[in-house]
Amino acid sequence: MNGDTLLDELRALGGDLDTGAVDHDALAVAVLDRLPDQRPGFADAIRRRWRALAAAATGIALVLALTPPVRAAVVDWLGIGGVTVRPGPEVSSAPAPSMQPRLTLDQAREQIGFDPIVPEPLGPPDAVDVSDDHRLLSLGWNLEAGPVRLDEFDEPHFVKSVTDTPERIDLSGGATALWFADPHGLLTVDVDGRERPDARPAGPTLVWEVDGVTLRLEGIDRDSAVDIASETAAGTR
Amino acid sequence: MRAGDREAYAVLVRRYGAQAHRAARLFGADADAEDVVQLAFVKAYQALPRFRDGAAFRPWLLRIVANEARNAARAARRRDAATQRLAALDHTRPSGDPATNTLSTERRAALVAALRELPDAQQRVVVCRYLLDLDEAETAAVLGWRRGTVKSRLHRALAALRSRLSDVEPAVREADHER
Repeated sequence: MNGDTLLDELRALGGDLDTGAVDHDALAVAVLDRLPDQRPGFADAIRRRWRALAAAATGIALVLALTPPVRAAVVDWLGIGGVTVRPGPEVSSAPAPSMQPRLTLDQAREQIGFDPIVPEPLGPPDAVDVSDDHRLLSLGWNLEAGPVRLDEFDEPHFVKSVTDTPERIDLSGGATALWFADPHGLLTVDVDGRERPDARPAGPTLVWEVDGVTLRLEGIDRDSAVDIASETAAGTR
Repeated sequence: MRAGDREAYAVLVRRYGAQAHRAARLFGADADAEDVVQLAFVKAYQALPRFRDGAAFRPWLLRIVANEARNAARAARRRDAATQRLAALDHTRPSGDPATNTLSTERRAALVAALRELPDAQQRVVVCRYLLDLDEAETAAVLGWRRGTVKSRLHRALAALRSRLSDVEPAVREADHER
C-alpha cells in the first residue's frame, strides 16, 4: 500500500477524535480558581510570556526548545524521569547489591525497548541483567571501592523515599540530575504504577535522564557520578 | 496576584485549552481528562518563572499534559485492569462532511487495533506526530527525546503499522489524493 496513505489515515483518525466541545471560559475559570497565590518573580514571567504570545500572534515564530529551566521544573513536579521522590523514614546505609553476569549487552538490547547507555568512563560492565518484565536494564561493575550499579529504564520504575530533598545539579550540556546524598528507601513500581513490596535501602545515588531513558547510578561518589552523567548527557540537545 | 497577570494567563488557557484536552485524551486520560488539563495548566503556571523567554509554550505545556495524563491512565488501570489503551480512539466519529470523510468504519477499527498493539514508546510518537499533528521538533520536546530518537522510533512504528495493516484494504478514497 502507499506509504503516504497511512500517514493521511492517521491524521484523519486524529481529526475524527471526538473530544467533546471544550468550554474555554469554564476551563479558564476553573484554572484561575486553582492557581496558588502570587509567588516572587511571577509577574515578570507572565508579562514576558504575554509579550511572547503577542509576538506569536503577529506571526513571529517562537523558538522551539525545551530549555534547562523547563527540565528543572519537570524535576520538581515528578521526581525525575522514571523516579518518583517522596518523604520517608530514615534508613541505614547499604552498598549497592552486587550482580552476577547473566546476559551480554546485545542480548539485553533485544529484551528492552531502548538502546543501553554504557558510560565510557566506567568501561564495559562486568554484569548485565534485564528484569523479568523487560522494563529494567541493570549494569554492574566490580570496582575496588565496592560494587557500582547503573539502572536504566524508560518509564516509571522506582520510588525513592527520602528524609532530605535531593540536590539538583545542572549537568554540562543542559540536563538536570538529582543527587541523593543520604541512604534512602528504594522500591519499584510495576507497569501500572503499583508499588511492589520489595523496598531495599539504597546508598548515595545520582539520577538523570538521557533521551527519555532514566539512569540511576549507585555506588560512586558525587563528583565522579556527575562527571559520568555529564558524559552520557552530552549531545542530548 | 495582580489582576492583569491572571487575565494574561486566562488568554493562554483559552488559546491552548482545546489542544491540551485532545492531548490529554490521546495520552490516556479518559474520564479524568478535564482534571488533567486543569492540573497541567496550574503546574505550568507555577513553573512559569523558570520558563525561558523565547521558548515555545505549546510543546512545553503538552509535555506537562502528557505526563499528567499518563499518571491518570496508570491510576485508572490500577482501579480497573480492563481499562483500554488509547480508549479515546473508541470515541472517534466521522467528520460531518462526507466528502472529507476518508476512513471507513472497518478501516478505522483496524488502524486503532494496530495502534494499540504498538509498544508504548512507538505509540506515543505516532500520537504526537500524526494524531496531534505536531512537527518533529515539537514531538521531541513533548516526549523529551532526541530528534534522532523520534525519527527512528517513528520509522519502526510506521513499519509495524504497515505490516499489521497489509492485509486490510486501504479505504482512503482515491479522489482524495492529488496524485
